[in-house]
Amino acid sequence: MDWLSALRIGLKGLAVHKVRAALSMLGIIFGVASVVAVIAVSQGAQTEMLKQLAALGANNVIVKGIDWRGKTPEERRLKKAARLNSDGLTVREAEVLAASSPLIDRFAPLRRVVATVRHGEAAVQAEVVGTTPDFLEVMNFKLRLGRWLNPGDEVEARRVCVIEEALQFENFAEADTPIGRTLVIDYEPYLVVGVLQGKEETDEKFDVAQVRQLNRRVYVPLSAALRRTTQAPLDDEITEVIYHCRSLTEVSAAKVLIDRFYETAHGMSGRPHEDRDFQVVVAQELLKQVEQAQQIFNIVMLCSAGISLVVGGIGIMNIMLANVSERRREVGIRRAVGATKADILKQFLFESLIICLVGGIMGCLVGIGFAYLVHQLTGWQVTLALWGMFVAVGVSLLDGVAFGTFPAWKAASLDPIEALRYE
Amino acid sequence: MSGDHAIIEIQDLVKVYTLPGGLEVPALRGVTFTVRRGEFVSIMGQSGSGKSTLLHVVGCLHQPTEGMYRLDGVDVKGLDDEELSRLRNEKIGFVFQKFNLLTQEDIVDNVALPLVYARVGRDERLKLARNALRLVGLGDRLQHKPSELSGGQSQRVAIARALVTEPALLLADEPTGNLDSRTGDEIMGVFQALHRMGRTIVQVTHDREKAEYSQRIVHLKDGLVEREEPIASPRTSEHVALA
Ligand SMILES: Nc1ncnc2c1ncn2[C@@H]1O[C@H](COP(=O)(O)OP(=O)(O)O)[C@@H](O)[C@H]1O
Ligand SMILES: [Mg+2]
Repeated sequence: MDWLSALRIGLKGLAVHKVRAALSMLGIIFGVASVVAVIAVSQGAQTEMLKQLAALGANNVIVKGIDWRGKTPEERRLKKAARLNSDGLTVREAEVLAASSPLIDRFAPLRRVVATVRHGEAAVQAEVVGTTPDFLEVMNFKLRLGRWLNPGDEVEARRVCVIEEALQFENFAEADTPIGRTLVIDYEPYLVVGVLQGKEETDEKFDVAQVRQLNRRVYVPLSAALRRTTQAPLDDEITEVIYHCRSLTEVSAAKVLIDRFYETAHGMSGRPHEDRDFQVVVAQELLKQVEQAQQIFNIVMLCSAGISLVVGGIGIMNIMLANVSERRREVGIRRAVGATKADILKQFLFESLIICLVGGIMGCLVGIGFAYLVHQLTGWQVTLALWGMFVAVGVSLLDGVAFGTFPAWKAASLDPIEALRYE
Repeated sequence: MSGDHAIIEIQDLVKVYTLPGGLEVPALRGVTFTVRRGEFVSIMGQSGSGKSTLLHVVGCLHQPTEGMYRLDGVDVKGLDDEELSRLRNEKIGFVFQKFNLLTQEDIVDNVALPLVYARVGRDERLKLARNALRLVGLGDRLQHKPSELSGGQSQRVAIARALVTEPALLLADEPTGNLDSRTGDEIMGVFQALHRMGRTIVQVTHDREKAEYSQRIVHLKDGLVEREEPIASPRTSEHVALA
């Protein structure tokens, strides 16, 4: 028997028993639908979580210069000797590294000093951070007012600054906006051009994860900071570089790469860790969370797929067994006119495969509906994954074979004469 | 070789059924008989004498337990299930007492059924099926379902199905058993017409009158051939309705 005939016979067999076919299909439909919906919900949650983690800086690898200045002159001398081959952290080497590695898509060098910042009569101690325009994107910070530092500021070392929302002076309140005011940092006047949005409470718990506690910082162009803020004679050019990785999953690899780069560039290869004048930091806790969450998602998906596989399969087997025993006479007739055992097996297997294929496709549609409903009811983000639907339909087809084979085999091994005797 | 003109050659054929409990039921205990090409033969005997069993073995639906069976020159003993299926498909047309049509299929598809397993293309299948139906006088009821037919018409459909592959042998187990006498005569008329066209036919019947339409009667008793009886002048049907 050719495949087309097998298909025709299968379809006809189902058409004759529409209600039964529909019932057995229900199991598959709901099984596939639940798989599709669960995948959509967990994918949505995952995307959401990755986004949040990225916002928290999980994509970042931070290189910090180690404060090598010892307390005593002797200590200082020894430490300096230890890093004879190193200039400390520089912008130049960061540029070289970022340009040479595809894992890194952007970076921001930071120079941080604590300085007195004045506004008229009022004065506060604040951290002044010199950085480049990319910093905003690297850190995923949002502006509240005005603008962020731009390339022009950097090139011309303009005396402009962006302040954090929390930076307040008692004489600020009179006006509604700090933009356009002048702050005096280390006796140099800086024009306020923008205000950063404050970070929310939720960030607090990620403090351990190297997400900087943000409060009262003033951001100025790095070039301006290098020129104008006072610098100790043996200081590194910059205090820190933040490398932003293209993908969250590549952070670990990027960390290794960056570590190697600095080790070589600073002449520290083969030397003990304590000698290093730099430190590479990633948000380990966050990464661990990502991995754990991913594992939980996978387990949930596997379980739901497994359960629906078994439930749907048992339904198929049930219905097909009833089908076979009811159609014994048909089997006898087909065998009498020349159908082989393989022909009969093919016929009934095709029927269960058709049930599973149609059920699988309908299940996808119902699953999309489920996912949408979940989204409507809970507001969770859902992501419909095409691969999820292929997996679900594939699994249901597998079901058809796994649970349809036994009934089909039973039909095929009927004795033709016995089968014909059946009323 | 004697197989040149013999369709069925059977020698010392034994068929033993083994019941689930292990009990053995000897249904045929050494049957020997031959049917030549173009013959019309009837098998008669009391209920339980082994008529159906013999027909099932002849029809390759069951393997003989012992003895020799050659069908159209092919030794059937030792063939596996797939080879038996192919033999059934190619060389044998079966007509049953209870018609055994597929109720959900059109008549034309019922008749074409053996061709599905002979891997004949759909168009060709339908063409051959129509021809076979015309041959039994049902050329105008192609798209009907079996439930819309009378018993006589159903049996004609079954005969058309048995003929559609042009088999070497037509087998019928009590083909008139479910029909009234007049319709039975009609079916016998069809058989006679086919016989005249050169078909080889073997039928099982317990009705002496129906057996007399054939050329020869093989009497079975307790799984053995009791005697063979030639019919000098077979009956002819008054209701021949063949195209
Ligand atoms: N499948 C079977 N299993 C066991 N015994 C059977 C089977 N088929 C037939 N028999 C036995 O074989 C003998 C011959 O049966 P059968 O060929 O049907 O006779 P008939 O057709 O002449 O009535 C009977 O005794 C019957 O009970
Ligand atoms: Mg019988």
